[in-house]
Amino acid sequence: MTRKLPIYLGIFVGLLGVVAALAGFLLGTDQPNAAWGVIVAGNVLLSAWLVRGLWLWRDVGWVAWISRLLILGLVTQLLTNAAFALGLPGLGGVVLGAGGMALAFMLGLVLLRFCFHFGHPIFGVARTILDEAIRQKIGLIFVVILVVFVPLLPLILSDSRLEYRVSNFLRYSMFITALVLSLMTILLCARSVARELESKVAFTTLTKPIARWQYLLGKWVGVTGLNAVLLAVAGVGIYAFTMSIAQTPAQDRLDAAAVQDSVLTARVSTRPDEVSEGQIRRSLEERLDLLRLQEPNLYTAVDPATGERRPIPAEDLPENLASPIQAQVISEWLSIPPRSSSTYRFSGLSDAARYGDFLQLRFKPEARGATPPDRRLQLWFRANGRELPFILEQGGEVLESPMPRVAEDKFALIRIPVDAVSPQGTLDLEIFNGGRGAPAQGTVAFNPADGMEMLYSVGGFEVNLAKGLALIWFRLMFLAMLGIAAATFLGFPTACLLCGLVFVAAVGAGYLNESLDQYAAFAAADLNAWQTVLGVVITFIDKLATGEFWDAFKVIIRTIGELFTLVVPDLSTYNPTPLLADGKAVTWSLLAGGFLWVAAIWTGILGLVAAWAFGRREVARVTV
Amino acid sequence: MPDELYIQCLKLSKVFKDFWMRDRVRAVDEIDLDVRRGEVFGLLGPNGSGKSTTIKMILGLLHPSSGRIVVLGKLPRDVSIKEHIGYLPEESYLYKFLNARETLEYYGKLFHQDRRKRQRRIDMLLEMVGLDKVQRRPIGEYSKGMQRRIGLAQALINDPKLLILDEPTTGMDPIGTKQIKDLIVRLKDAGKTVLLCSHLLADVEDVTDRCAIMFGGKVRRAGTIDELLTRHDETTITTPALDEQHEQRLVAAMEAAGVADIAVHRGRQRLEALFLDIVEEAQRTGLATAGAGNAGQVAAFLTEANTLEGMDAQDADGNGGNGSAVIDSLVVETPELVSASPAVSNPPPTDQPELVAESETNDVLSELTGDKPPMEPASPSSPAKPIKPDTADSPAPDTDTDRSVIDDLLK
Repeated sequence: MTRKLPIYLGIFVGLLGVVAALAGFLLGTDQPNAAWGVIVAGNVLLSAWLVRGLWLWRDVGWVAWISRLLILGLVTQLLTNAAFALGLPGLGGVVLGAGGMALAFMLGLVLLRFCFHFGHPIFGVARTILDEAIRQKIGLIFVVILVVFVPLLPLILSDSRLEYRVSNFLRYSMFITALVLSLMTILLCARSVARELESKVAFTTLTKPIARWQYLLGKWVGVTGLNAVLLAVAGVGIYAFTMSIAQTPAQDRLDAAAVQDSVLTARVSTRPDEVSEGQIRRSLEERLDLLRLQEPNLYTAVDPATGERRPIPAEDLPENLASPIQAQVISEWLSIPPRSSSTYRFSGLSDAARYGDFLQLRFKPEARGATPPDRRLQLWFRANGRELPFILEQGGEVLESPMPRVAEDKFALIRIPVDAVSPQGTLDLEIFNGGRGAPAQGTVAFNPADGMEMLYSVGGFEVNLAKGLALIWFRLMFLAMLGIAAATFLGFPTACLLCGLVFVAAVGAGYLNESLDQYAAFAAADLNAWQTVLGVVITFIDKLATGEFWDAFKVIIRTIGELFTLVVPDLSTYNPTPLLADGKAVTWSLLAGGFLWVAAIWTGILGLVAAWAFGRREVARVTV
Repeated sequence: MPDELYIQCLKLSKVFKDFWMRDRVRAVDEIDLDVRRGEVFGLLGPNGSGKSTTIKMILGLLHPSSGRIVVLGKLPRDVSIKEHIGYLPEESYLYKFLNARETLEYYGKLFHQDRRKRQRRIDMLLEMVGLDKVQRRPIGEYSKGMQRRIGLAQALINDPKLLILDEPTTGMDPIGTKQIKDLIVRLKDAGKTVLLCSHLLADVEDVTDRCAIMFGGKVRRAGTIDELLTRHDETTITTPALDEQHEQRLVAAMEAAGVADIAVHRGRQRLEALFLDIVEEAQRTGLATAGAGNAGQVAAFLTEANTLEGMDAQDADGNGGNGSAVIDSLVVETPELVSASPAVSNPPPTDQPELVAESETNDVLSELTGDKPPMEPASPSSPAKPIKPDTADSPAPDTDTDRSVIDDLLK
């Protein structure tokens, strides 16, 4: 008791110091003199604790731990206060953010260690890789990068429009977080397993009652836990900085509104329904009739019973003939000839009214044919038959008029009040090309992919950010298992290379497939596996026969590339960064899909294969 | 079941193949090996003789090319048997970034031990291996000997039935070596089975019951230490220090009895015993050291259960500390040694009562000095048993009594 009393006293003094320092910081804006008094008193108390804590009770584990936290707290608030005192609030924010994130990390680590304290082999291994990550510096380096870079970003971003500042901060900070944690996960997992096998440290572990799969699972659990803490820290940091950037002055009223409506929100987008199913059908039939006359061999067939040529119905047309016609019909449907109008129906908008006051129509008009000299198009919108005072924003420009003239080939946004939506949740949008007294202009078309979409908010930014971080966490789960699996049979550098290759291929899967398509063209779409293989072989032989050796070589390269993308999961689908930066919702279905495909199926398959192979492997080497 | 086999290897072979599946090295070649419950078994051999490969197969780290291993009644790759095995690898394969306590925490968790049990055992083990004062330093900062100690502690955290020690004394100073040998004997007394793999022959000789000598992947000789080491062509007689006159009379008497080629040597202390005496002396005078502290008592949990019958309770409690009676008995200090050739001094078989030895001494001497024909040195019933009346376990013999016996005999 005689020993414990001063410790308790010390804790009290230390806590008092922390509270005083924080109180001083909060008071700072209103009562500078009182604030400085409290800050100085707090620092004296904190320093007193540190001297006692560090020098007298350094052998008591938790005293040393609290001392470390306090040192960090002390340094952070001293530097922050100094920055504010010197009139550098930006720098103060950076220091405060970095210190806060570091403190949050240390606390999270303690929590995680507590979670791993149970007497089970998996937790034993998990706890050890956690210690390895911190003490062997490999994890720590990435933590430092994260804790330093995220707070620095707001200083670097220099967009004049607040909307873009917030959006870009989200984009870069999420990108850095995902990249840094991915690299850390791969390096940490590959290094831990490969080094332990190489240095024979694993021998001591594997001669204990722990199954090989438990050893691998323990590593995975440890790294996944560490990632959870780091994502939480990054999340808190990103949220705090986003909010603080959002407080900075906006360019104008609409800019301020746009931050809330287009960035700090969770919107879903919906494309126009192919309203007139019958209309599209009719267009398709008309086009087919024309084609049957032009190319009877392709679009008609000889009836075996009567021996007459009969038109092939649209449903029975081969896919490679039907798709282009359909695409063309849809593209025509999204085109509005001069001085006429088209109506597009958006449905399922009942939820929109629950979260916001506006729907956002995002569109990019493309001019076909004659364009007015200022490259602006006169368009006129009507929602559910009501002509509304639309407010249109385009590239920072605000146009308020029922008939705005919209710059072509640029995204524009129109706010539509939610009360325009029908009780059934539908909205018929009628767009007139041209208008009363407008200069002559050609056909206006919208790209079927992203030329016209209706956005509406379905949730808040906070939940969306959390879901985005969860999606990154699922991806990291896969990468952790990848690193572990690779290191069970490869050395550290080779395992890292393999993981890096898979990571790049998985993250850029969408882009990679496109590139491969363009790199060496051969018909692969809409064919089954066997036909594809045959197609590749025939193309290759054909190229060789015609002396196009380079093209033949490219066919081989593409085949290898396609085989590789086949065994690599498509992580690009589950990338929350662009969604968060554009204020789009990370939907529950995307989250569930990410969990199912990335965290459960791909990680599971990889883990099972690794456990199976590692379980059969001879861990020791020849030493005769 | 004293003959219960804890490890059984039948025609065990390990062939390492190259890329083309051609035999490259035949590391272990059809060996048969049995380790019985409760014994200390020594696996000896020069470097590269296949000892470590055999141990790694027993532990499931390597798979046999042919033959069969049964460990504690199951195949080596069965995870459940590992619950009862303690393994000290030939080098300290431990996490350098953990401290001693965390290391033991980690290995305790691998045995599903809850926190309370872990803490209790860790405290005892750290004290036992003398690292309790430096338990918060990372293992990477430890000397090699200290790393061996923590390695030993991790091997014992589960109170193993079967302890496999691969070169346990490499890198250890003589005190550490003595403590390990002491520990092995104590563990054997507590009913543990120990497989000891070493090329430090003196260590093995001191503690093992049976051993096998490997070379080129084969077991060349196997048997009990007595069977392997007894020289059948000479006899050693040990007496208290004799003056020159008595010595000459004894030699003359023996020559009269027809014994030729008699050599008389002054008794010599072993260097190990001398070293330990010096260190103990220094420790008594309180000199400080930066390294591992004094090893404490054997952790109680290792001996508290399944203690073998006949274990000397006083031995377990009274003589803990720095040098227990057991180790003293191993480090034989023979005050005087008379031998016919370089001395072979083995510890007496533990089941041999001291009185018998003494009476045999009388018999032999009377045979030598009397009219009886000299005893056949290679008598199968008692093969040239070395005579050592004073071990630490027995009360010190009365020198006067001994002298009078000899005087009587030499009259």
